[in-house]
Amino acid sequence: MLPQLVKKVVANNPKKLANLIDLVNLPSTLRDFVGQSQISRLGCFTRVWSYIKANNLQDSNNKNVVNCDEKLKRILLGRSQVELAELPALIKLHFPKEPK
Amino acid sequence: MGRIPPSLRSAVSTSLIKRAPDSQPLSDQPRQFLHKPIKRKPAKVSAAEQESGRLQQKPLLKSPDLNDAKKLFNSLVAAARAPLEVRFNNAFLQSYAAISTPDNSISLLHHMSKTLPSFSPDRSTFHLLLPHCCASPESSRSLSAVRQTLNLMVNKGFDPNQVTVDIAVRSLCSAGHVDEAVELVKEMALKHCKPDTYTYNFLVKSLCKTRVLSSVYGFIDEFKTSFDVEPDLITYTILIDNVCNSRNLREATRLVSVLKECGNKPDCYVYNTIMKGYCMLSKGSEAIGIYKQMKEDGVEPDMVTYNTLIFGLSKSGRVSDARKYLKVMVDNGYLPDAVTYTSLMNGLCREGNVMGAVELLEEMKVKNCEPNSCTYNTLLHGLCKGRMLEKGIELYGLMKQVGMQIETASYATFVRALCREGRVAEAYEVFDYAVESRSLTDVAAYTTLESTLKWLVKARQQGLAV
Repeated sequence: MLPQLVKKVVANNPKKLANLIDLVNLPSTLRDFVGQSQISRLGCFTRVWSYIKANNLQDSNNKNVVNCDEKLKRILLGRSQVELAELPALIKLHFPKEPK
Repeated sequence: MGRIPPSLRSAVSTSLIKRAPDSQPLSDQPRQFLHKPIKRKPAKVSAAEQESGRLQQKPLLKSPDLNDAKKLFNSLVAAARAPLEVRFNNAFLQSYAAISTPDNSISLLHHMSKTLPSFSPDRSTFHLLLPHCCASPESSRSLSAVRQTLNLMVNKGFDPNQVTVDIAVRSLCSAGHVDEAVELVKEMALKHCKPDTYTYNFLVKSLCKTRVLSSVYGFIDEFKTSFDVEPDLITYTILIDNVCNSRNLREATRLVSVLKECGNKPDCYVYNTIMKGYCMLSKGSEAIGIYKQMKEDGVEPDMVTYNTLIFGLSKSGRVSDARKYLKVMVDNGYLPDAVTYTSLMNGLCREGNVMGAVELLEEMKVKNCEPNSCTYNTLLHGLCKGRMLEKGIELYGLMKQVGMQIETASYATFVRALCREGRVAEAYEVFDYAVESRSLTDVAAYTTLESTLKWLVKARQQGLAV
């Protein structure tokens, strides 16, 4: 038995890694938000998270919740509030699924 | 010593000069410690070079084009008030060789000899051409450039010696051309001289890293029969280390008996290497066995022995035994360092005694032993696993203050512990820190965060978490 079971799932799996960092042609909604015609899923997440921080969109009472402004609503299913815990999953919806 | 005018002193940038080769024989070098490569002492830097180093001018040799270099050299020769010294010429050639192809460098060498009759290339000139010939990608197909340089040396009356072989082998191996290095050494052994122990051991080490064990053994056998070059204590240590890293302790023990048969006495390094092998497999009793064997054989355990033993025992869950050896260590005059303490902390955390680990941190500070990054990460990991999140957050704050790197394991455990308590925003913040401090790549940091959150969402749905 290996003493350390480090989960390098993505790093060792080229398909999963590609899914995360390959540039993808975007649907118009995302394109407007990001300002680019292509972005990777990781890049998009980073961009959205920076946007949230820069515009102080985290709820002052509960930092785990984000109050979406108009721009953000358009890419997060029109929700006025989202949980930080849901953020990666919501962004993933915009991106093509992993080929099985 | 010819004085070079100020305008020319900046001509040769010392930033391009990596190291001036040593042309003295290696016979008086102390025996190398396994894990450190030989550091060649740079030949004394002439005043001219020191000057140019101080001035830090932009490199004059920007173009790899041969004709440009020739023209530049001609102008330098013409402008010099006094004859240019050998070191300057060597430096010029080296700067050019660094940016051009081996063939061009050799041509430049010829040109320099023709233009400046006083410039007679000596051994050091060839020695500085050699690494560039070896490192070039053409070497993987044929050693023509290397052979050309070597032939030149012979023609000029400098037979390649052991230093030459050593330089060539090291450059070839660092460029990944290990097979070619072996080929070259065999050639040189037949024509000129056998490799010295340093070259031989370096080659064995490179082979261990890139080839299977059987081919390394084949190499050793071949050299024994064809060239009468025997493996020595260091060779065996390299082999044992390699074999232990592949978790093959049986082969390691066999190698030790072979070592003894050949009349070599295993020393501290050998024993430490085997002990490390057992410790990596969490075999505490075997590790202690090695310690006892060392003492029986009259080999004095050193700091590394004690640290290895304590690490291994802690890892195997035998913390009280580890502590015993801590006492033995101190009794024998060795002061425990950060490594020792961190190993113990690791053991304590594994047994679930996290408070004990924290107390150890205090003890370290009292004994003026500076905790390092590994210490903090081990502790953070232990605190999170031991459900002492608040203390973990406190520790994380300390780490952030000093800009300490966070390791993959402690990052993952920390993020998970935070999410488990519903403190997702703080987990995001840790993610930010991990990326900012370049502790992890953004891919690694994000992947952990994403999978943890995925787990959290599922757990919440099942009513298992906040």
